[in-house]
Amino acid sequence: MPSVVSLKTSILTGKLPYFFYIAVHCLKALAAKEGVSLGKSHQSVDDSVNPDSPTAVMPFDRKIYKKYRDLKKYSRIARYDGIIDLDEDTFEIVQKETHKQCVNLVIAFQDYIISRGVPLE
Amino acid sequence: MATKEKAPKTTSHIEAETQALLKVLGMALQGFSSEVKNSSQLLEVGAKTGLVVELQENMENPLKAMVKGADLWDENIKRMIDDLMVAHFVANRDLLITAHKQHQTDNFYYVVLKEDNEENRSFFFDIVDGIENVASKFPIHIQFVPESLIGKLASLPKINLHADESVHFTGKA
Repeated sequence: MPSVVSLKTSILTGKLPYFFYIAVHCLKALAAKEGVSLGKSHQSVDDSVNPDSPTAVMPFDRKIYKKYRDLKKYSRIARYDGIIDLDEDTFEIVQKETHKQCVNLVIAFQDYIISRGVPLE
Repeated sequence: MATKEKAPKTTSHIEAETQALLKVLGMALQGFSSEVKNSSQLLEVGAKTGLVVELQENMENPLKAMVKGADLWDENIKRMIDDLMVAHFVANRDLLITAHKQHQTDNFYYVVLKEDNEENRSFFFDIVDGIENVASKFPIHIQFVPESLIGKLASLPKINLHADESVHFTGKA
């Protein structure tokens, strides 16, 4: 698994979606181990693990699901091109905070996947 | 976590509100009926009311008319989502230092938390999910901003977190 966590922070905004993509790959690895199909779209993957979804085939504990869900939210906002109210320096500081949150979320999520018997190293 | 609880509506409240809505609907239909009658009479003598002009434009370009109607609905839905978001910010103001709205019309909010941690951020993402699960076509964005940057939000419309009821909004919408 490549370590996005160690990339330079000057490309923060571009980095943020990758934390979510790492989580998706972790999920798919777990699903493959469990012999479960999560579907192809991000929505079907989400529905497969969301404990509130009636179509969840691999429902997660709510606390773990929220880590995945929050990474998805941060990824979406990083790809949103409508943030025009903040100057570049301010935006960079905001993204540094978001980056910190994403690092913690993705590490915790990876640890959970490893605890389910998926070797990610 | 302190949140403002709303008393559930009783059956008699719901009936009274429905009756009021039916009355408003009846008045609107009466008004529209008169407008249709006037338009018809005026058209006979060669005059075009706004309604006639709009009808003829729609006949000429029905696709444009449909898109215009859909855009209007979208705007109304976005406004309703904004009302809901503001109401949630107000109800959970104990977690917030401030909340601002983007100058643009999208449902985009800058939020400064009293305690900026994973739990509190996730709490507001739960609110977003609750609304997006019903209106998935209309994304809601929350950008959390560190307290040290609070001054950078000064020019943006500020949400009045101390509003007692419904939605109160200061600054430009």
